[in-house]
Amino acid sequence: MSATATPGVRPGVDPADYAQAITNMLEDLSLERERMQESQRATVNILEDFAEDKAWLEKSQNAILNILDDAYEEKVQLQDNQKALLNILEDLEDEREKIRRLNAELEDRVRRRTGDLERSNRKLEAFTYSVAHDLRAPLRAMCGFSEALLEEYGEGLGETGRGYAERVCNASRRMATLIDDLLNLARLSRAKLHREPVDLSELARAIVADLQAGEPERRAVVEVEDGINARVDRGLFRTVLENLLNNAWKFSAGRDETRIEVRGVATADGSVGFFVRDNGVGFDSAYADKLFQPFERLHSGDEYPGNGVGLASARQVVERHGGTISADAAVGRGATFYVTISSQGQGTDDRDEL
Amino acid sequence: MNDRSILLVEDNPDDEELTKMALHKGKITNEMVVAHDGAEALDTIFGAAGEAAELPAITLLDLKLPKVDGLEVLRRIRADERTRLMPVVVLTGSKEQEDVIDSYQLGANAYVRKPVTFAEFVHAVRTLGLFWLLLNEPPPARQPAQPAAAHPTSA
Repeated sequence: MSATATPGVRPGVDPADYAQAITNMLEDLSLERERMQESQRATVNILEDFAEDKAWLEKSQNAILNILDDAYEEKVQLQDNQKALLNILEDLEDEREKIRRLNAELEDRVRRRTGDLERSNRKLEAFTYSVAHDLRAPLRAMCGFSEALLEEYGEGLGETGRGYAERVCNASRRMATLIDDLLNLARLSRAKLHREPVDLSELARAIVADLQAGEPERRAVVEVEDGINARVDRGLFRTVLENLLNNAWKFSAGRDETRIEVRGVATADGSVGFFVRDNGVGFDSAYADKLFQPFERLHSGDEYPGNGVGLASARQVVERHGGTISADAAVGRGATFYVTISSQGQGTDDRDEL
Repeated sequence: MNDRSILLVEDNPDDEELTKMALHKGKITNEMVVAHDGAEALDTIFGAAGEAAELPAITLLDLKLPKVDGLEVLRRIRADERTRLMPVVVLTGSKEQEDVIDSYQLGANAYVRKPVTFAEFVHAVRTLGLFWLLLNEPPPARQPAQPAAAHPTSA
């Protein structure tokens, strides 16, 4: 075995092989370098592309930022609007609460009023019941026993005594009539209204025909205009027309010829109106308001019998129909009574009762 | 003429006296029994019904009465098998519509308002007496057991 050896060369390996190997390696490196350069070029290209993209992206980003800025402003504005709306809603809520409270108060008040009315209605009914049942009994006794007195003991009473007994009986009878009229008046204020279309002209003619039939010898000219129609309670309005026409007939009794006129009146608000006019004794207009009070009379009972509830009843009915009644007259020159009736069917209408 | 009694249900002594006078003047001589309030009327009627005694030919019933009012008396008369057919005439001071309707609804046979003047009162009571005691055929004193329930009012 030789002691000498080429440094770096492994003993036993041919140096020519080395050289070859190194050459091979160098060739490989050169190839590698080319590849790397190519990659580098590609990378540079890509980077260039990136730069373009970046610029574009930056532009886009700016645009987006602008949009975001705008959006932010929008948002602030919207928030302001929202706050304003919320304020309004709160106000509305307050209003609604106020209205709710008012409604509750109103309902409470209506309940209390209704309770009051029901109580006073019950009282009125109890009162009416008592009047109807109790007030006539003593009159029956007064009249009954004074008549019995007249029959059984009339001889002993003498003429004056008999006259007194007769007065007692007549007065009781008048009072019985007054009680009945009062009860009728009370009934008118309680009666349910059943409104229906009524031909008032026809109703008036029928009443006048009855009056004339009861006094065929009286010379009377009665004109009733056609077509006075209204939605009213037929029975109650018959009472009104009867009272007005009876009065017209009664107070024109002294004339050579009775003249009665019933005519429709045009009203501004479209409600129905009519008047009843006579050529009777009339009255002083200064007392016109008194006429419609129960038991008020402007003429003596001897001259013109009556008890003073007719016109009070008429007013009761007309007012329950949401209407008005008034009078116009002069002493010796006849009287005119005007009636209006609300066309709206106002007043205490109980049509649902039908 | 029917000789059964007349039952007058009346709390007012004046009206009681006037009715007696009117019956007398009308020559109606049937016995008149007077009940002075609703409770007494029911005792009289149901006492008679219980003893199978004769029911009155006619009952003249006032509406406003102490203790038990006239309408309640009428209701109980109509509710009881023994008395539900007996003739009852309401004879009262009121002609209020409610009273008239209530009376008929409870089965009154007639409704007459007491007139204020004695002449009219006599006329009314005499007419009632003549009709119910003479003309009218009253239901049998003892009402027989109903043969069939189909026509209970045609007996």
